Amino acid sequence: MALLEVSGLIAGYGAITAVKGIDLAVEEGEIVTLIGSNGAGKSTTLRAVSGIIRPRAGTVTFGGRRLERMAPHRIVQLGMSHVPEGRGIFHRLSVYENLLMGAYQRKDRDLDSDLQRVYELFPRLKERLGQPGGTLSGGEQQMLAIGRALMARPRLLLLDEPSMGLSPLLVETIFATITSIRDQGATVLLVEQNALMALEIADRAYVLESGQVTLKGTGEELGRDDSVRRAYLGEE
Amino acid sequence: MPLVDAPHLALSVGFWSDQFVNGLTTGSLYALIALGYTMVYGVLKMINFSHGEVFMLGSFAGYGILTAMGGNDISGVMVAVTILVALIGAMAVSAGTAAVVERIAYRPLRNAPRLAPLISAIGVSIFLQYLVLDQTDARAKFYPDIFPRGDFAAGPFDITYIQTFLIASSLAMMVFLYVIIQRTRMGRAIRAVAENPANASLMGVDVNRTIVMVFVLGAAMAGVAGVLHGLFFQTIRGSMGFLPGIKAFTAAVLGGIGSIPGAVAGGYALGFAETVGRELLNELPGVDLGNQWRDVIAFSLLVTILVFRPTGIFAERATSRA
Repeated sequence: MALLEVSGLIAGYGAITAVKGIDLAVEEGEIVTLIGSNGAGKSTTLRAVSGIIRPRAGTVTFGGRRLERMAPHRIVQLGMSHVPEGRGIFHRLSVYENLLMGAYQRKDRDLDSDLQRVYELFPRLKERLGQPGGTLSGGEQQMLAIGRALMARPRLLLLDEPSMGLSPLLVETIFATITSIRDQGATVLLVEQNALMALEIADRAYVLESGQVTLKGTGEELGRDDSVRRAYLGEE
Repeated sequence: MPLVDAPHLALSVGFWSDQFVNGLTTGSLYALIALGYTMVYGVLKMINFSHGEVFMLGSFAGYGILTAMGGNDISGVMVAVTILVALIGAMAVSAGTAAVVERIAYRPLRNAPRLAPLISAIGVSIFLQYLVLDQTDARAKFYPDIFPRGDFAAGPFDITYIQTFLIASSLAMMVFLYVIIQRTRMGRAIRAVAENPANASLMGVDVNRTIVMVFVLGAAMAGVAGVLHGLFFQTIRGSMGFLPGIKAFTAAVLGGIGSIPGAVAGGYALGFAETVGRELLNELPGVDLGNQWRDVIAFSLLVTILVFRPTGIFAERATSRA
């Protein structure tokens, strides 16, 4: 059984149904990406998985546990970290406090090695530990959001548009970091509009359109697929 | 201060220092109660209008404990012990009340239009007030007269023991709260929920439990204020929560509702405005404002603040919700 299995997921907000019956699976140790245009239902899928919104129908199974009715903080305790769209930095908490919030649900209080690891990945954060999170630049906030998620030592990391608003150089750094996070044992479900980069690092990918999966395959396969290249990689 | 009759001022150092101490005393109580308003507003953006009754219940709990432990017969070292027990008991009763009220009167309305929890809060306030009035036959109760009388001089100030105790324990509670909010894991969770509840839950924070803790902490402050009020003024009654409650609310708005330092600053500012401020106005020719005018001053201040600086002294920055 896959680490995360989503089956027949329907979810949305008010009168809008953004996700209309999605099936997907993420195996332990994989990087899986969801690509698709704005409004395809990518973020809504992540939000339904991590419990921020309640699915209207369908099942979400994580490590053998059903999540559809579980409160988000309980899902975090099972080992899932969600870096939401917009990064979710606490602007009035210091950078250091933001990192501690990442480890909030951990039973052990031995955080030093995890902090060291975050400082190694993102040396910039170490220089800014005392600053309020809101004073960081967009790129630094993204680093903090990912570093904070790692503090939870998640089995599964959900990343929503980590490249949004970042310079190409920073995007490279972030994607290299995602790969190294996976190599250190975590599983990653990545939502991206930057399909080119996402397909490059992903083991497998799903293409979403209007709330449904229209295509799936390995990152490599989809990267070669003509319809994908036309629609998402900007080729004619 | 050219309008003030300077020779008169110079001649009555004792009078002014007394007013200063009175300001500190009243201000301490306002500040303690205001903390509950500001913290609840910080996480729920809601004015908890039953908070004055939580203060009143704390005062009655302290009264019940002091009476049960011997009332006026308490003496010697037992005075300190019973007062400590009364303070702890009052904190527990106030906190318990606030937790129950949150659960049954506010949480079900969490996603309702903003007017609904406000009206619910007013309903709870009236319910608690009349419950106690009913149980006490609307009569006043009198705190046992056990606190040592007397005063001592500190420079120009003449401070009674009870005032010293009131001011010192208020400040101690504020420091205690500050340390919890700024230095503990629970405090971080409270600040995170205040800023963005959804993001806090993604960190593994149980938002509902954290909101209960906010009510509990604020109520504990109000419970202490209730006992201190009882020890100082001695007379307590079921309706006693209304005015200090609404004054403390004024103090919280004055300081910038949602801000913890603001509630403290607003509490003391209001305390001084009512005492020192009123007497300073009396220095103007033809002005003679009696004690009842303190309420007029307090609420004039509220209106002025709402008109000219609705964000208060310590304006809370608008929360950015990612």
